[in-house]
Amino acid sequence: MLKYIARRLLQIVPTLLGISIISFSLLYIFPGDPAEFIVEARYAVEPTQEMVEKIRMEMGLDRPLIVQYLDWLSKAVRGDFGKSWTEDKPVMDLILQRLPASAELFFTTFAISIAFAMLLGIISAIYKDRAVDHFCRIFSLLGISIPSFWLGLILIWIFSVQLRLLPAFGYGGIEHLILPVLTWSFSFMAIKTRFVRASLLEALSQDYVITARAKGLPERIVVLRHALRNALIPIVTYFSLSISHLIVGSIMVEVVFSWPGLGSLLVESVFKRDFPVVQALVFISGVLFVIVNLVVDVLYAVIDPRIRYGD
Amino acid sequence: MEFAFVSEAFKSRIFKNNLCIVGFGIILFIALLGLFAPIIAEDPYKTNLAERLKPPSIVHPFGTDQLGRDLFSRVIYGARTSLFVAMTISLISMTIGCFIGAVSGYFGGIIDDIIGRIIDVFLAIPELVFNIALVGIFCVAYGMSIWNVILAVVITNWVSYARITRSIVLSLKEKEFVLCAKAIGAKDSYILLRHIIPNAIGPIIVLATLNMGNVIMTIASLGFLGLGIQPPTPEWGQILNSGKNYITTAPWITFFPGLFIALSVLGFNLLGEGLRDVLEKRTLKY
Repeated sequence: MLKYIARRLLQIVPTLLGISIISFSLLYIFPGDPAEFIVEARYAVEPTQEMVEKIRMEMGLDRPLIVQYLDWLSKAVRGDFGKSWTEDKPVMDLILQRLPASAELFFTTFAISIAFAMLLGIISAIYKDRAVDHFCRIFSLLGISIPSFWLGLILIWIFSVQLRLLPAFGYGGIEHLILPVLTWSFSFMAIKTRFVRASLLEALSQDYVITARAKGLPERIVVLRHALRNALIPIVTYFSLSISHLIVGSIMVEVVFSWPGLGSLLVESVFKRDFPVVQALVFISGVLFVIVNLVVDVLYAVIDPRIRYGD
Repeated sequence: MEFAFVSEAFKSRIFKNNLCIVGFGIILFIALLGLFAPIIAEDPYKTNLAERLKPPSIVHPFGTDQLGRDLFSRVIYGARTSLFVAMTISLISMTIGCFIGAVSGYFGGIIDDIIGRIIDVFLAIPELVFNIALVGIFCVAYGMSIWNVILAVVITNWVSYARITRSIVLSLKEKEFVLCAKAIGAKDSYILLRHIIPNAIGPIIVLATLNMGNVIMTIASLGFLGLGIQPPTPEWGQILNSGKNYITTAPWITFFPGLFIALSVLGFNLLGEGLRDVLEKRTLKY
């Protein structure tokens, strides 16, 4: 087991390095002097030679690129992404300020989507090719095809403009949470419903299901005890993987509802040209994806010993 | 030899598949609207301040926007923008992705190790996050332009093609017909072009179809954020972005462009799923 974990840890090192190189180079792929750019962005004045030199020294931009990268990386792994270009604050402070709102939106959506995806997926699989199944499949196809920002605006029009029931945007009590969660859940559970359906159908086609049916067990027990239990392993894995959407999975929804989370931070920073924040969000979201994948893989191997030897 | 899968039996299976027909119908409908836009629509740039924010009527079937432009014309011309940009992006990323994937899978060894790692890295960074960051930086560097969007989306989009081509090539290169070609001394480029690519083309077409839907969604998302194709060029996401400020007084500005985004994404998703159903039966023969 330890050997397996060690091997997986070694495997992610090049990926993490790659993510760090891409994030770092985001600031250097355009022509021009970053220092000049920082002066313009922070003080909104025409940069003088003096100011540019000062910034360059201050940020160590006069050092060789590789030294700058190693310095940036060693700070980034400790959560220090330098200072914002437009505000006099560390990048990490800006991110931590927005994290609670994103987490609130994500976990509410996550819980609701899982519940509905399980329910719809199971019903769809049991009644395969019947009317209910068709309904569920159309529903999930619409979920991946309808743009969330459009759905959000339509919901605002119905519930805020016409019915005056819920606030159209902002952050606060539970009434502010309803529309964003509804909007995001619609697409979030669409893909999950399809996955639950497919996994359960796969399990239902196994030999042990035929055995269970041959024993004369009631269909309810065959599905819930035998098939679903086995299907749960891939389903739980798949659900856990979506935790990596926590950081910026909800960009469009956050922007529509002016939700003060990390997604809107990303978009605001792009417009303010606060690129250290953009860089940090790219880095963090990539790393989060890799780590969530690793944790899920290891847990999977703990639950199911076949994985360890199969590799 | 080339496009060997377009047999008569295969064609009839495609036409019997409901998903394919409905999806293809929707795409054809939107593409024809775009193609004949100069005939069916008015000038999408013509402003008329006396006719601002008018609700749908016979003269303006979709109403007018905040500058008095005919929304129907803007949405129809928007189909041109979206489909053209999405096709450009898909073709470029398909070419790059398939080439990299084929080289990686076919030659293996250290080349494959390096390319495989690069693919992992690109898969790890969430696509939209990466797109937004890239477009933002390109805008600062090169000014606002349609090419920013194309370049940014290609940078994230080639990966899925590379991954699927690589895995197909890996499985194909051990097959007897490839080994035979090698044994009689065929060149690598010949084997890749004549034996591997024709056999890999089915799954790539399925991916490309589903991918068109994703790309249209991405273009619209960037447009909605104000980072995509800039006004006055009509683009669905960007029309929605301006419509959101008038949601209380003129909801039609929001309604119609969104409907067209949803329809075209749905069309490509349906067609892609249908093609997968049809082609998967065939891939079982491998």
